[in-house]
Amino acid sequence: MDETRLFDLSSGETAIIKHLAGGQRFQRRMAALGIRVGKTVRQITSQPLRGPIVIEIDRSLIAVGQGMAEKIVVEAIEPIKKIDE
Amino acid sequence: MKILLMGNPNVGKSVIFSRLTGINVIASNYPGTTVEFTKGFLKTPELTAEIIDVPGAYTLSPTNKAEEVAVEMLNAGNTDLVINVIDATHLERNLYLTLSLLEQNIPVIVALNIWDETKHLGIDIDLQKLESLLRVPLVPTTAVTDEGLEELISRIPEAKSELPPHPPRTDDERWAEIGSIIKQVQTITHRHHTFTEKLSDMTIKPATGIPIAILVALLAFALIIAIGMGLRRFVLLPFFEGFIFPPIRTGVTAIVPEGIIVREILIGHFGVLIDGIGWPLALVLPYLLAFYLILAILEDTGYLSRLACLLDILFHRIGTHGGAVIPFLLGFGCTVGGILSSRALDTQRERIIVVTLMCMAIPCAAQTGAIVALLAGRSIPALVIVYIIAFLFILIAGMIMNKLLIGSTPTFFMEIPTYRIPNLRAVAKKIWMQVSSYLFQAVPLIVFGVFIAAILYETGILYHIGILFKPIVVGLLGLPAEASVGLILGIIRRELAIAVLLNLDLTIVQLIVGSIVALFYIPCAAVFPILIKEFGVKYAIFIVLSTIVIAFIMGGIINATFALVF
Ligand SMILES: Nc1nc2c(ncn2[C@@H]2O[C@H](COP(=O)(O)OP(=O)(O)O)[C@@H](O)[C@H]2O)c(=O)[nH]1
Repeated sequence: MDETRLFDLSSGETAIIKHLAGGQRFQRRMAALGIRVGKTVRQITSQPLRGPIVIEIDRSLIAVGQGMAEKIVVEAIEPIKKIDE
Repeated sequence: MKILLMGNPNVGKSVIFSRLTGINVIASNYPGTTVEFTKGFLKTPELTAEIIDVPGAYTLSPTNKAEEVAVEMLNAGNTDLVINVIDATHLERNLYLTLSLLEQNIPVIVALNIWDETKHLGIDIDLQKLESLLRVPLVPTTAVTDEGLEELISRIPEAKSELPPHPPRTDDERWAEIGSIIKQVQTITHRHHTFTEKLSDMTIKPATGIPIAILVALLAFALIIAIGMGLRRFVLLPFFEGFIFPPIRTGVTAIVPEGIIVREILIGHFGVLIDGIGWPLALVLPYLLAFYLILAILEDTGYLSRLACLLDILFHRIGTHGGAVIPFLLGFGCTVGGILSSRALDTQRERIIVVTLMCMAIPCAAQTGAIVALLAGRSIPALVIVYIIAFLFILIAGMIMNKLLIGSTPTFFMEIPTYRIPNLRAVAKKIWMQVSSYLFQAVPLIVFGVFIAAILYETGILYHIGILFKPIVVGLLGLPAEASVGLILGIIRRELAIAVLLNLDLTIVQLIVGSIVALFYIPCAAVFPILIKEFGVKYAIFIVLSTIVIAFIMGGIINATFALVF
């Protein structure tokens, strides 16, 4: 089965983190900025030419370079309609 | 009593530290590392304590050098108390370190900082509940306005009460515990998108962000030059020409008879009492002030992190990542400061690339001031040409180093903070720290440099040096023989090589060539002790030789090109 990675998301898409494909050190670095399995992330934008991806997680913005974004496995969820917009 | 101040990076630890300790602080390197920490004293009627501002850490299982130092300090054994500073707007991920600290056998008191921002972010935290769950004193604080700090100090004794330490947990157990705490104490109410969020979106999305970044860069550059020139022309020059130099001239003329060399050294061509004061204080200082003001604003609003993200791809081409934007920009202030801040980069390879570029082609604010003073009045295009050449050089030399040096480029990974209005006191303090280190460390060097120049000039030695360098200076670079004095003074300070040209009568092409040679030439004397300490003698020698060769080659090429074209 094809896995969706963080960098597969497009702008505005929301997803749940399923798996962090790296060692404990990598997991800890991610967790330090709140990137953990089970968390919901929203892709804000990605920089051109395979530049970093900007995501929102728990109301913080985090820039993640390609090398790391490839190791974050996610599952996209249906966008929920916002009530106030 | 010994207190450690611990917390994640960027939670306001340094602000709390400076509020608790006042002015008597000592910054030093942790033995055997390049990690810096500060130490100070807290004195109240009830207690006297040594406080250490421990480097920011996310975990007690180190993932980098700063965290290693933090853990070593914690385990040193003589700690009486830890003040754990946490960011109330990111409670969940901050609690990870808090729980880890509570598993140690050390009393803890928690400062729930950045409390002021929770309200408008729609975050509600049940303080009593949180305190009872953590079982240690918890005080909400707003470090920037001093709110809560008195209560924090007054409750320090409570933290001393012995608690049974929590048994160590696994990572998963900690996160499970944090999940349960968050559920019980934190409610987040939905709120409408604020203006700062819209601004944040606009500045980070490439379609709008890149044009904005270009505008910001141009505006910053223009502002630095405008503020610097304004201060120089309308404040400092009139002040020195009006009130300082005339009495000096009259005084020296009255005391020292004519024909004695001392008189010329004091107020002559490179007069120590005229140029020795005027160059550092009226020529360089205004640009330094302007530069650090603009940089502090860009940094403290949170814009620099967005710039780092936008520039990451460009920095990748030269073997580093967007995080290098901060040492890079600091290098435009002072090369020494830039080298020190490059310590924050992940690998030695990145540091070598960034520092080499800084030593070669990044003009410090002092040099920028001198270049602007030299060129702006004569020809703005000439000024632009000099900076474009420097920029292209940085890009090409960086790409070459990235190809030649073995190793890989680390990935960019950082938080982008929400936009904030910069705190005036914090900005003022930052500027003062930079400017005071200039006044007390660099200015004496400049005066010394001018003194050497005056002696060389008045004794006629300069004339002979001029003859010695003539083939290069006159033949290759097309400059008058007198300009060779710049090559001697340039060893002492970057801007002196340029300041010398101010006293000569040059054509536009000569001005450009002179600026370029001085720019690429040896960085200032203060750089070498640090280069040797951080990278070794061989590297320092490499920098000396390569900067000289590159300066002459670049100058020669430009001189020849202009000679062909015009
Ligand atoms: N709004 C707000 N900002 C704060 C507070 N405390 C610190 N800051 C800001 O947070 C940023 C990081 O602070 P700093 O002390 O450098 O963080 P450190 O890395 O933990 O030492 C600075 O821009 C401070 O001005 C606070 O209580 N409220």
